[in-house]
Amino acid sequence: MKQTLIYLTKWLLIFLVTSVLIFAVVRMMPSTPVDKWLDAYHLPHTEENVAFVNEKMGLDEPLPVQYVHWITNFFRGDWGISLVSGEDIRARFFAKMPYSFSIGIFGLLLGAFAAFFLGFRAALHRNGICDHLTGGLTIFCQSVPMFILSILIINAFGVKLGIVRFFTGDGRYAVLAAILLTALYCMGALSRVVRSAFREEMGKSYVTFMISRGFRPEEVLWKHAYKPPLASLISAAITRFAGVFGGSTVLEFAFAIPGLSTMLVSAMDSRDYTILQTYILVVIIWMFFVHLFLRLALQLLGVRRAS
Amino acid sequence: MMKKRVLLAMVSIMALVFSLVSCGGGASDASQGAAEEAGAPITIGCSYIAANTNPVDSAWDLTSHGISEGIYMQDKDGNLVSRFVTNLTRVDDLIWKAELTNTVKFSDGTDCDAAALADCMNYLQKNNTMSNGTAGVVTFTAEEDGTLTIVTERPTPVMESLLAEWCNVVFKQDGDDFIYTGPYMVKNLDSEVALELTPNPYYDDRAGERSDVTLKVFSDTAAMQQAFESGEIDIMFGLTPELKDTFEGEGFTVKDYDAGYQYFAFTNTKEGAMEDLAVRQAVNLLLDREEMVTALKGGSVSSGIFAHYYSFNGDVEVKTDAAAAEKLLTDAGYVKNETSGLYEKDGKELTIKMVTYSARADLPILMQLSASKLEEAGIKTETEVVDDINATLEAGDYDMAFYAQHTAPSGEPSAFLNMALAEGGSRNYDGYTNSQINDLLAKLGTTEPGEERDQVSKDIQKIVGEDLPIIYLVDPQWHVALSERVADYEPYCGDYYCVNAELGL
Amino acid sequence: MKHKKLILWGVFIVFVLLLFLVPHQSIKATDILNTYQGFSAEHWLGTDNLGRDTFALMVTGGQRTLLCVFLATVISFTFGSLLGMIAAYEGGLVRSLVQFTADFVTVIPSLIMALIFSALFGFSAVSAGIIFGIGNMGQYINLSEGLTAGMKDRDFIGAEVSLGLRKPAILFRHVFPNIMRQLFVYLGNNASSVVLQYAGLAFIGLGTDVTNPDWGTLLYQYRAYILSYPRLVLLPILAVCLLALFFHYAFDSAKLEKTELTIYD
Repeated sequence: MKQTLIYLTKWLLIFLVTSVLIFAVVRMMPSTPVDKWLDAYHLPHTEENVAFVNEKMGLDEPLPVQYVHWITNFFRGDWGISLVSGEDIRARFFAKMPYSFSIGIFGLLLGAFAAFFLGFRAALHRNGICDHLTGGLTIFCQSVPMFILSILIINAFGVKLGIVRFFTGDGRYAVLAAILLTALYCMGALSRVVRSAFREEMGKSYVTFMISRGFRPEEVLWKHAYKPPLASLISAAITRFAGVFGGSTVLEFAFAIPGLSTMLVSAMDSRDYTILQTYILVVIIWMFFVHLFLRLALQLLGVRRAS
Repeated sequence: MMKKRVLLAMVSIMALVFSLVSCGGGASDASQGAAEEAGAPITIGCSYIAANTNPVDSAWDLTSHGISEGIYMQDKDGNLVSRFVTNLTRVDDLIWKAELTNTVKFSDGTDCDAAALADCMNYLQKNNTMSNGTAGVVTFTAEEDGTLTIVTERPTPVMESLLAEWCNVVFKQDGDDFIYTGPYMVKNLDSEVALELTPNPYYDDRAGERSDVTLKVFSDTAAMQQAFESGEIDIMFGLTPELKDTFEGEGFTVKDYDAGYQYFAFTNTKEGAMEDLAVRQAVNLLLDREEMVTALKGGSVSSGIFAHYYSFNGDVEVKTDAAAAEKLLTDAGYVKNETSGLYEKDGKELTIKMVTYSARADLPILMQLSASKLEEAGIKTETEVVDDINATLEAGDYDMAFYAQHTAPSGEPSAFLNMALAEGGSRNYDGYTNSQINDLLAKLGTTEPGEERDQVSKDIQKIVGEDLPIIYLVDPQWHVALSERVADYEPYCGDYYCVNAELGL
Repeated sequence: MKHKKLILWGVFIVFVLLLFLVPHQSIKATDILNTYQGFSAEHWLGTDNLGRDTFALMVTGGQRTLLCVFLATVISFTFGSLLGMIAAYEGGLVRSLVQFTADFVTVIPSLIMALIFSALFGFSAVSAGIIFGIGNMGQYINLSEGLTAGMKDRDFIGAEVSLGLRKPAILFRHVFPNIMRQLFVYLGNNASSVVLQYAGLAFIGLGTDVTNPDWGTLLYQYRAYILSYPRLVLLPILAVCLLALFFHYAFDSAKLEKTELTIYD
C-alpha cells in the first residue's frame, strides 16, 4: 500500500512540475499567438489590434491566474479551448487519438511479434536467411526514409494499379499502410535485440546441460530460454510504445491521416498555448500508464528492470 | 507448441487490425471517392481550411471557400463588382448612399435587404477592430426607401474598396449559427481535416446544377500530388513549376491563371549592404527576371507593384544589365578582389543576406536564382529559408527579403502603397521614408478612382523603381491541376476565391 | 583480426577528410537551362531541378549530416552512459531521478522537443544534433544502468571497494571498460538513425531550408522525383546506407570477427 502511495505521489509531482515547466516554456518562445494570428491575416501589429486579440484569447489575465485556471479545469476534465479556433480541445484530441494510437500501437505489436519470431530464427541459424534478413532490414530502415516508401506504396497501389483509395473514403487503407510500415520499421532493430538475447542464453550452462541430456536444441531455446529475450523485447518495445505520440508524424503527413501530429504542428505554428500545454500533460499521463504496464509485465516474467 | 501459440497470436493480431480498419475506425466521414460517380462531390485538395464559421475569425477563409461574399468582390479582370449594390454615390465627405439590387437571398431563403446588410456590417464594425483600419468606424443605416446610408469616421475616396475588404462579409446570425450568401453552404466542418459544402439553393438560378464540394486538407504536397494522380481529388492548387511539367507530361489538364499576388523583395535601406543606393541599383540590374519567369513556367516580368491587369499598375521598365551594374559598384568604391573575384570595400567583402520563407514554393526558387546571379557577378550572398519571416523582417535581420502578397485585394492601390512606403506602415520594416512619395501618397488618399488616381499611383511606382525600397520581380501566374470533370474551371485572383460560383458548371 | 577494423576506420577517416576538403562547385549556382542533367564530365553526379550541381550538394550536405550525427551520438553516448552508470551505482533517489530523466526524454517525442527548441534557439544541423542527442540519451541510460547493475554484484567490484578505491576510479577504470563493448554495439546499431530522424523533421516544416541542405533534407526535397528522376533520391539513400553500414561494422566487432560462437554453431 505504502509503495503504491509513494508511486502515485511521485507521478503527481512529476505531473505538476511538468505542467508549470510547459506553461513557462511555451511563453518563452518568440512570437506570441497574438502575433501569429495577426500575421495570418496580414494585419499590422498596432496596439489596438494586439489588445483586441489578447483579450479575445484570454491572454490579458495575469499569468498565475491563467495557470490556475487551466490546471484546475484540466483536473475537472475540461481541457480548454483552442486559442485560434475556439474549439474544445478534448473533443479534438479524442477524435484524432484513435488514428495516431492505432498506428503506433498496432504497428508496434505487429512488429514485436514478428521480431520475436525472426530474432529466434536468426539466433538459431547463424548466417542463415533470417540472420541476414534481419540485419539487412535494420540497415534498410536506417537508410530509406519512411516517406520514400510511403510514396512508392501509394504510387503502386493508388496511382498505377488504382485498386486502393488512400485519401478519400474513411482512409482505412491509409491507416493500414501506416500500421504495416510502422511494423516494418521497428521489426529490424527489435529482432536484433531478440537475437542477441537468445544468443546470450545459448551460451549459458543450463542450456548446454539440457542439450547434453538429449533435449532438442530448438526446443530448449524456445520453450525454456524464452523469458530473458522476451523481457528484452518488451523493454525495447515499451520505450518505443512511449513514443507513440509523436512517432507516426511522418506517416500521418504522407498519407494525410488526421491524427494528432497535424494538430500539434499547427498548434506550434500558431503558438496555440493551450493545445501545446494540454498535449504535454496528456503525454505525461500516457507515460504513467506505459510505466505501470512495464512494471506489471516484467513482474509477470519475474525479471527485474533490465536493458 | 510455443511456436504455434506465437503464430496464433500473430494471426489474431493481424485479424484484429484488419477488422478494426474495415469497421472504418475514426470520426471523419469524409466524402466518397471523387470523379466518375454522378452526384459525387467535387474534391479539392488544400493545405488549410477555415477553423470555424464565425465571420469575425474566418471571414477570409469562408470567402475563399465560396461560403461568404463581400458586398463588393473582384472579378477576373480586377474590377470590383457587386451582387448587392446597383449604384453607389458619394453624398459628401463622410456620407455615401447605396442603392440595392435586393435580389440576394441568404442560404436559408430569407432576403438580404438593406436592414440585413446594415445589421451585419455594423456588427462587424463593432466586433472586428480590424475592419476599422481604413476609415475608422463606419456606420450603416437602412433607410425607409430601401437604400443604405453609409457614414465613415474618416473620409475615404473609394467606398467600393472598403466594402470589398476581406473582413466585411455579408452574414446573418441565427442562434449559434452563421448564415451566408455565397454559392455554397457548410454541410460539415471537420477542423483541419475536411470541409463539406453543399450548393446554396438560393444563390442564383443555376444552383440546381452545382454539386457538392469537399475540401480536403493535405499537410504534404507529395501526398496531394498522388491523390490527384490517383483521381481521388479533382483540383490541386499551388502547383510548383516542376509539378506542372510532371502533370502535363502525364496528360492532366493544367491551367495557368493570374495570381494577383506579386513577387517582390523588400530591401533593408536602414542598415547593411543595401543601405547604399548604388548597391540596390546594382543588384536590381543584375537580377534576371526573364530567367525567373522561365523557371516559374509562367507569369511575366513586373512593371510595377501591382498585377498587370489593374489600371493603376506602374509602367516601370525593368532590365538586366551586368555592365551597368559593374560600373555602379566601381563608381561607388567597390573593388573586385583579384584572387577571390568578390567585390570589397574598406577591406570588407560585399555580402547580401537574402531571406525568404517556404510557404510560397516559388519564392525559394527566385531567391536561389538571384543568389546565383549575384555570385556570378562577384557579390557574396548568404541565403536562408526561415520559418518565421515576419519575425526576421521586424528584427531587420536581412538585406533582401523575398516576399509574396496580393497587393490590391480590395481593387485599389493606396492600401498597399501606404503599408509599404508610408512612415509607420505595417510593411515598412526598415523605416523607409521619401518626401516625394509621401506627398503623392497624401494625394492618393483623396483622389477618387480614375485616370488621375492611376497616374499618381504610377508616379509612386516609378520613384520606387529608382529608389528601390522594394525590388520588382515577377507578376506571377499560378498553376492549377484540374481533373476531367472540372476541366473548364477558371480560378482567378490568387487564392482569394478558390471556390467560385462557376465551379462545376 | 584487428586489421579489418583498422582498415574500416582508415577508410572512414579518409572519406571524412575528403568530404570536408574536396573542391566542389558552389551550391548556389543555378542553371535553368540545364536542369535534371545526368552524369557528365561537367557535373559528376548530374544536376537537380534548378540546375544545381548534385555532387556539390552531396558534399556540403554530407558535411552537415556528419556534424549532426557526430554531435548527437557523442551527446547521447557520453551523457547516457555516464548517467546510467551513476544511477546504477548510487541507487536510491539518484537512480529514480535518472530513470525518470531517461523516460522523459524518450517519451517526449523528438518532434515536440525539436519544435520548442527551434522556436527558442533557431534550427540548424547543430541544434538538431543537440536535440537528438538528448532525445536518444534515454536508451543509453537504460542500457548502461542495466549493465552496471549487473556488474555491481560481481566480486571484483566488492574487492575494489574494500581496497578503498574512489568511486570515479572504479566507475571509469573498471566498470566502463567492461560494459563498453555492449554500449558500442548499441551505438553501432543506432547511430545513423539520426539522419532519417532529421529528415523526418522536414515534414513538419523544420529544416526545410533548401539552400543549406543535408542528406535528409535532400531526400525530403527530392521525394516527389523518385519515379521521374530516381538518381536524385538514390544518391542520398546510398550515402546514408554506407554510413549506416560503417557504423554497424565499426562498432560491432562481432560482425567483423564473427567470434561469438556457441554450442549451436
